[in-house]
Amino acid sequence: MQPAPALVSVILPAHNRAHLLGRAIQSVLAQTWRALELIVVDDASTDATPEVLASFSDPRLRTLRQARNGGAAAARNAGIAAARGEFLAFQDDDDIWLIEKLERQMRALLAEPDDVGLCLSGHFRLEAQGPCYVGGSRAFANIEFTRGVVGDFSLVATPGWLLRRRFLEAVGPFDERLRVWDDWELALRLSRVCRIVHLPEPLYIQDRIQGGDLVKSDRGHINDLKVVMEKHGALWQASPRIHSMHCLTLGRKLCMLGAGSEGRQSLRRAIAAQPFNGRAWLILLASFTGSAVLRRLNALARRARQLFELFRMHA
Amino acid sequence: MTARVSVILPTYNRAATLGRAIHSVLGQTFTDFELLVVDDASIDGTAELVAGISDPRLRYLRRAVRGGAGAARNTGIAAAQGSLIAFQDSDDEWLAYKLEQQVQLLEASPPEVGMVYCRALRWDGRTTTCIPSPWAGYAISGEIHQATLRRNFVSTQTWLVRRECFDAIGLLDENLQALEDWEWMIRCSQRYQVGLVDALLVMVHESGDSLSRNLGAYIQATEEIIRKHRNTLFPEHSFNLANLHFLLGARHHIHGNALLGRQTLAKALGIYPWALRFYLGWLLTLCGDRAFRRVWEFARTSVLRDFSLRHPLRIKAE
Repeated sequence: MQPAPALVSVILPAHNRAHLLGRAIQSVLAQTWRALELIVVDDASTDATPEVLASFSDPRLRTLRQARNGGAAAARNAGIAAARGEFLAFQDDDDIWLIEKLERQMRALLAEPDDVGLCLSGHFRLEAQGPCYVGGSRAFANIEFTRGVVGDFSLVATPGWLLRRRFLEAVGPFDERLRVWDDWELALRLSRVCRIVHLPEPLYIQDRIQGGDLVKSDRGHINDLKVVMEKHGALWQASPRIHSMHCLTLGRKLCMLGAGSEGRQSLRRAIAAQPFNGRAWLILLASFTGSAVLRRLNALARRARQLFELFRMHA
Repeated sequence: MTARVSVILPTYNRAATLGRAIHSVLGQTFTDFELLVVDDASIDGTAELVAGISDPRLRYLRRAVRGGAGAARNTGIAAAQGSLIAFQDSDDEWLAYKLEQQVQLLEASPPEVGMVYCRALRWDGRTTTCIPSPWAGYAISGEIHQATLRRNFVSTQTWLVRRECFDAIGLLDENLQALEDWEWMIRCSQRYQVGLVDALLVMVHESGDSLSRNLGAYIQATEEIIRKHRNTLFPEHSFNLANLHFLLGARHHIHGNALLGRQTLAKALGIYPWALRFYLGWLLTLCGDRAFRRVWEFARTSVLRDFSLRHPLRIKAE
């Protein structure tokens, strides 16, 4: 007789995405790893979310409802508090898990020594330009949580996580002040108490066409960078390059959203930390042309980077 | 009571991935189907794996002699009881709403529409592409015969076919060891319209070495398709025939047969001398194998993806 497989608690914060929620839930319940409970935390949705939830009859599905909209981090914390599993995984309301996601990650995690607390995975991202793959050993190797937000941020997005609960209890829950980078900030804290591994294969689909909202997430990034700089700033002060990079990101985003004077202040800090940071000077100059021009330049740079990536991939 | 849909899953020595393929069918939101796993004489424990999955909708058929994917699918069609027929492959994964959305569309379509398909995400272990391409500039639904003569963009894992179609135009060609789905689509699209559920519903996992391993079969199949259809389908469309030679020549070249490749490309030019890319392809053969392969792969997977987007991609919600 084999021991019963370990229970995974899957936490899904849902907010006003009733049209996408069904497929996200379905993709969890269809997992080949059957020993799971799915806790959907309805973050005070005002659309048909309750009806979608009621249409599922699987006994493994439980729902919680937040009285007030408190953001994904708070919703995840509420879900964690109600979770019974030794392992935690997180789904988003606009993502789709491939059918073997939990099984592969559980196998990988169980094969490791138990100082490994978090298993990340690659994924597919759907954008209007077409699909792309996010992951790979090289990309993961570049992540160094204490250095901050470097590289493709969605490498550490929560739908790719499988987490041993006791490490979460050691470092505390998601920081509820954060709106976008709550996952990365928690991973930073986790990286100090446990090892983090990854599976390069894509195990879920991130849908940026029907989900996601770039402008909103830019505002979130600004808020989050400020919070994280205050909380973990000491980590970065030691390295002028990293400090400068984060000041630059903050300044660029502020300027793009039209907060020119605050943004330039941050850009000047970036330059003070690293006087030969060419990008910071460039953005500082460009910021005087106004936020619309800056946004367009940013879009162009992004496009150029994508094309460059494409060529590098084939070279 | 017979099921409405028969899902046919041919498999040969893929016990490692077959479970995923089967579970992704059994987990569909549309439930009125039978799943026929046609074991094409595997020797790797496929039978035990299937026996370990208990679901009353699952049927296991075993062919005594290996005949290839086309023959195995035909075995499945002969045994199928449903009025609609879908196909799955042993490497691949259906997303949960695949059958539901396709059955809905096909049953709402007039009888001229013989089959529907959907988009698929293809993953080769390194890069990912969508088929049909979201920036495709050709007809991908309705009258797709012309487009089908040029490209193979409707793969079997995405099919949902009315049973009458097979009665009217015949089964898959068992002589082909590759591209049998394309050859059937050429015949099908000539007679029927084809519907598209414009949503990403299938994940195609290609094993990294499958293309190079199958290159010989591809070449043989392309030659067979040319032989079979050159007098019936291609005469009034010399571009299409030339294009087929172009593809064949490129494959010869990639397969390491540079001289034959160049000759076949020259043949394409002889049939239809007005296409710039035939000349470019021929010139490229002079630059050596590595360069040819690289440019060919690049063009195949990502030509100008940002500049000619016509069909934005999506996964349809419920």
